[in-house]
Parts: sequence; structure tokens; C-alpha cells
Amino acid sequence: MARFHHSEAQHIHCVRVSDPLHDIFMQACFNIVRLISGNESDQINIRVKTSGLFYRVSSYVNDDFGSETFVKYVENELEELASLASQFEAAGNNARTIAKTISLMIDRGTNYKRAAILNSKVSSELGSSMTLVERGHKWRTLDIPSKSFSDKKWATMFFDSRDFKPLDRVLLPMSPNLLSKKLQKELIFCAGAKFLVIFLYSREKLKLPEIPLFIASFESADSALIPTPRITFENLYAESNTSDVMDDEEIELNIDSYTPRSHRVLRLLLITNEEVLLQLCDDVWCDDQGHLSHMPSVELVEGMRLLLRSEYQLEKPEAYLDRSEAWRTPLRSIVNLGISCDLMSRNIEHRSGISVNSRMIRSWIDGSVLGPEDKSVFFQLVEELKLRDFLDMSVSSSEIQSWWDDLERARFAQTMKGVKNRSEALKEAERVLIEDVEESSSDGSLFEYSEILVIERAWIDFGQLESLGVSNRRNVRVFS
Amino acid sequence: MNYSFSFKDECELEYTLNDLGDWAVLAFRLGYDSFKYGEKENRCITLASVPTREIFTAIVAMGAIVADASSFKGNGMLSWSQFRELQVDQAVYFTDRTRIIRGRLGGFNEEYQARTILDARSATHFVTEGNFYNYKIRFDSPKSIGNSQEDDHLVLEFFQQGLDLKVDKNWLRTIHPSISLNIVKHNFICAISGVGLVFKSKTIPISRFLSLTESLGPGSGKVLLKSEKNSTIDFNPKLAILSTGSFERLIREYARSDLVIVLEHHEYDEAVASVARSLRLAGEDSAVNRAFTEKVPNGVRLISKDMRRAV
Repeated sequence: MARFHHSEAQHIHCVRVSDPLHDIFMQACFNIVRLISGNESDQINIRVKTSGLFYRVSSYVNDDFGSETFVKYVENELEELASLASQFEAAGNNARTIAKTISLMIDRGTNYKRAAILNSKVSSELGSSMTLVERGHKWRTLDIPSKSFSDKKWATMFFDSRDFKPLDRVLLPMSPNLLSKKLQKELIFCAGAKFLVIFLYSREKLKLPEIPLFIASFESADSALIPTPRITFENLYAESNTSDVMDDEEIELNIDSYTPRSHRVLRLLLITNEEVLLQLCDDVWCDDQGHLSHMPSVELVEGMRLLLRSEYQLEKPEAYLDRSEAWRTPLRSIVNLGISCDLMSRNIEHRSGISVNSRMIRSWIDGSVLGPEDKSVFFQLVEELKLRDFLDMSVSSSEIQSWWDDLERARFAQTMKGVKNRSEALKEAERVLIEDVEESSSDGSLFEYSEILVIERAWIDFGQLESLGVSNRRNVRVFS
Repeated sequence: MNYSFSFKDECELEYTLNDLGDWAVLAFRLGYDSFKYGEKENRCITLASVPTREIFTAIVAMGAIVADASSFKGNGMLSWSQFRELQVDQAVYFTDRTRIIRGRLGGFNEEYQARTILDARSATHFVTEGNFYNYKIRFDSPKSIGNSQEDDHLVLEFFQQGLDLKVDKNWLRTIHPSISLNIVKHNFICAISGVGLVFKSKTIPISRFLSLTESLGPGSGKVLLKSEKNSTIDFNPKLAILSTGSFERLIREYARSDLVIVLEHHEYDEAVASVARSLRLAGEDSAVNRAFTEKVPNGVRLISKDMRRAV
């Protein structure tokens, strides 16, 4: 109920902390990201590495940069950055600048942002009633072994905290747009914090998550979904300047991988050469040799094959049985001419080591079971038919493969399954709401019937989300 | 309607609807008006965005329950023809002289034109059309949830004393829910578990008042509680409350119901805005929309339209 009371305009107080070394560090990071554009993997990697380093150093308030955790992290990252930068002429100097400034910050022994949090006027006024977000994002902050603000008796919050209660005052060491989605939801959209105090270096940009427009009954009543926060600023200056300060312009690092508009997805390739994108939070059902188990998309790895069928691709068993006479008739003929299923089963096992139950062979003949569950069993069965001259030896492996694919699809097509593109689902929802129809029929999903290869995990931008496939968790089978 | 009740939370603090805020009054009104909406050709569709959905949804459901009870005219009761068609072995409770006893339905006896009920002592009772209403057939045990008969009285008392409404006690015996609710069940039940409705120094848990059920069995409850993505349904509820960001997957199943869609603010994106634009263009403002246009409650965003109902 407190969240409704907090739903008046949030007050955000932004404290700008001056640190000349950080200014130079940030400029060098920005230069690398700006100069090394392109989508080659090396170019993406150096941008990812640089932006990751920038975000983690800028949000680090756990100590004065002297802890073993921080020093070790920085050493590893700078080594990798140097290695990546060596491939790009434009990046070398900037990478060296980054290394130099971080080294100076460590030697200096003072973390100005941390000092501001501990000593600023607003911190002392608010006292122990604050909650500090110690880690606002899994990738944009450094993994810290232990809490460092426990002596201040402040409550702390992390990106993976579970219980969120509405709070009056929250401290953030990073811009709200860089928080995890969960924290953005709790602290901004769902009125979880009445008063936000944000500490940023002087050139970091204060940016809020995009607040959509709420569409009301008439256009003139359209307004921001949540009230626009009231923002105040305060500047804190360093005691001494150790080097020239660049101009005061705020810089925003705009990296594909870490911008709020980018999303981590699984990129899947359909047999029709179209691409499907699944969010990692989507669910899929995995059928591995007949066992169904629930699996989030995040557990799918490159190289897995998935079989996908649209909701309306239903088929009765009889239709498949007719098609499968190509191999079923010869099998029936063998048995009719006196060769027993037992003998066939023994031959297959003797030849290939694969054991096949003779009762199963009988069930495939009469169609009570559509066919073997295992691909190798099916191939050995067909081999047996060829060796006994009941199937032409010239039948190609690609044709046999097509029989197998057909069998898999038929088995898969027996129950209601399907995947819908999210935008299509929403369009259909609109149609049902607006038009006088009880049920809408699909014109044919984007994914009528497809075999899918998991290509890679990728970052995509907002525009590509239009083609995001939303998986119904009963829809996808995995064949590894 | 007079509101003489308050909500009590886990800390034993009490709040009236007005104490909670305009958002709570809107939620109650939304549920009440949406259920009451009686146009045959049109239906009321509302899309609301709120900071947190569970308690808002509970109050919407509460408004709908009150509307259901206040508009009860004997509809939805078990009829003789429906009783004849019930499955064999269905567990029932019935009144035999002064006692309520449990039994299982047997078949239909053509000779006596009666449906048989076998009780725990293997005695056979013959229910004919003539004496059907005397048996007061029900499906919920009078001994469930403490003493269910006392619960029934408490619910009726709440209507009388908390809302100044006299409700026919037969409303408690309607066989099918007329409200369905899709939501993350665990979160919803946790959120309302400590909330009670207080009137004249008595308290009834809100979950009991809502009479939540997950079963489609006859007499199981008033609000059918379903998971946020489960759309399988074989009846048309009068009001469907879709309190989930995945509402687009459920819409088709409720093509003939009045709809209340509840989103949390972080779920409202451009795709949902597109649905809202279509609603805006295709319907007239509903009564709820008109009532709250001038003063939008803190934290709530709402668009509510009257749209054509599927035939």
C-alpha cells in the first residue's frame, strides 16, 4: 500500500563528485568506444571490455581502490584491454591512459565517490535511515566479497536482493538507467523509493530509465506513466587537482552491450533461413528422448537443435502413417514373408550393437507406434531392409534423413504446441478486443514448422526486438 | 452503498477504503462497475497500470464479488436438470431432516424417477424433482475451513453490516464462479494472506470473502484463481481479471467476458501502448473512466472503454 502513497513525484538529489583523474579515465574510455566502431568480434570485444571496466570502476565505492579484490580485477582487465588494443592503432594510447589513471587512483588512496557518500551533508542529515545500493547490476558492478558499509549501520541492497519493501531514502552510486531491470522496477517504476540520492562523478550523465507515455481515453490526457521526478543537484569538488581537467561536458558511453536498450538473447536459425530471437528469460520445454523437463532459454547452448511447430500445425497420426509407407511397407512385407521380428532384432544388434526390442518392431509395422524414438535405431532398421533387398540399395541417405525428420515432426505434431511472435500475439489480442470475433484464427505463424539451430547468444538493440519470438513453454523440443 | 468496514493488515492496523486512498476506491469501483455492466452487445474493457498489483487486484475482485452478490436473483443455482446430469460418484452434501450429511451420487433410478445418493453408512437416498430443493444439495463441506457454516453467516453479516446490503443466502450456493482471475498465484496469496475485512469488531480474511478456488468443480468458490499464463477455460465468466503482463496470451479465451487488465508500471511498454491506442479508437468511455477522468488517483493509470462483445 505504501507504494501507492509513494506514487507522487519522486525526489532525486544528484551529488556530483569532482575527480580529475576519473575525468581523464572516462575520456579515454569514451575515445576507445567512439573510435572503434563496427561489428567485427574484435571491435565488439574491445568496446565491451572498455565499457565494463568503466562501469565497474565508476560505481565502485566499497573502499579507496586499495583492496586486493579491486587491484586484482583491474590488473586482469588492463592486461586484456592492452592485448585487445594492440590490434587497433587508435586504441593503444587510450588504453595506456586508462591504465595510468587507474594506477594513480589506486596510489592516491582516496575514492572520492566513497568519501562523498560517507561524508556529504545529505548523508549526515539522513543518518541511518538510508539504504545503499551496493551492487546495482550484475555486470556493471564489481563482485565484492563482503559488505563494506556495515559499520555505518545502513541497510544495503543488491541487484539480486529478493525482498523489496518500499523505502523512504535510497543511495545510488550509479545512474538509474544503469541499474538492473529489477532495481529499476522497484526503485523507479513501482514507487519503491520516495527519495533517491545519486552520487555521480562530474562527467557521468544522470539518466533515468525511459518512462513511456500512458495512452489515455483521449489524446490530450496522454501523460507520462509515472510522475516526472523532481531533480536537484549538488556539486562536491576534489581538494586538489592532480592534472588538467578536461572540459565540463558530460559524457555518456553508448555501448551496444550495456545500454538499457540492448538485450541479451539467443539467436536461433530456422530451417527456412529466418532468424528467431528468444529472450533468456523465456521458457522452453525440452524433450530429450521423450523426457519433458522445463528449461529456461538461458540453458540452451550453441549447437543444440530445436524443433518448433506452430500452434495450428496439428496432424492426425493417419496422415503420417500414409506418408511413411515408404519404409513401413517393406518392413511389413519382411514379416509377412516369414522373417520374424526377433530375428531382425538380433541381426540389428549383432551388426551395430544397437538393441531393438522385437515387440517395438511389431508396433511400428501396424502403426500403433509411429516409429523408433531413436535416430540410430531408425537408420539401422532401414539398413536391415536394404540388406534384405526389401528396400532399394540406391535409396540415398538424404532421403532416409527426410523420413526421419518427417517422423520426428509427426511425433511432435500430436499435441497442441506452438510459438508466437510477441508482436503478432499482441496484434491478435488487439483484434480480439476490437473486432466482433470470438476466436481469431491465425493466418499462419512466422514459424509454421521449423527446425532450429541455436547459433549463439547475442546482444541486440531495441529495433531487433520487433522480431523477438516468445516461446510458449510447451513448444520447443531439443534434439542434441 | 455505505462502507462500514475496514481493512486490517498483519500489523493489526486498520484502514477504510478512503484511508487507503483514491486508488483503493477506484479499484473497488472498477470491479463493481465492470461486473455490473449489463449491455448485451457491448462489454467493458479496462486496462489499468499500477505500482504494485496484488492488493489492487484483490480490491477489484472484492468489488466484483459485491456486485455479484447484490445482483443475485436466483441465477446460477443448481437446478434439477443440472443435478440429474452430474457425474456419478460426485461428492455432495445434503440435508437429511436436520442434519447435513455427505454422500456420493449414484445413477438415475427410472422406476422412481429419482437420482440416488449413497451416504457413508451405505444408505441410499432418493432425490426426486419434487423433493429436490428440500435436500439443499451443496458441494462444499460444512466443516471445511474451520466451520464453514459459521463462515457463511460471517460473509452474510459482512454484507449486511459492512456494506448495508441484504444478500440472499442462496447466493452462497451458486455452483459456478462468475469471476476468473489470472495472476501469479503464489505472490497473490502471500500478499493477501494477512489482510482481513473488519466490521463491527468481527474479522473475515479477505481470501475467505473472495472465496477463491482453483477448481472448476461445482460449488467450489466464487473467484476462479488461475496462473498468469493459463488460459484453459471451459466456461464464460461474467468478469475476467487478467492481472499479468502476459495478458495478450489470455485474451482470446475471454472474448465474451468483461475484462479488467491490471499491469504494473514496468510492464507497460510500447507494445501495450499500441493495444491501448486501438482501444481508444474503437470504443466509448465507460462509466468508470468518466468517473475518474477529473481526478486520476495517485499511482494509477487507467483506460476503460465499452467495446463490442463477441457473439
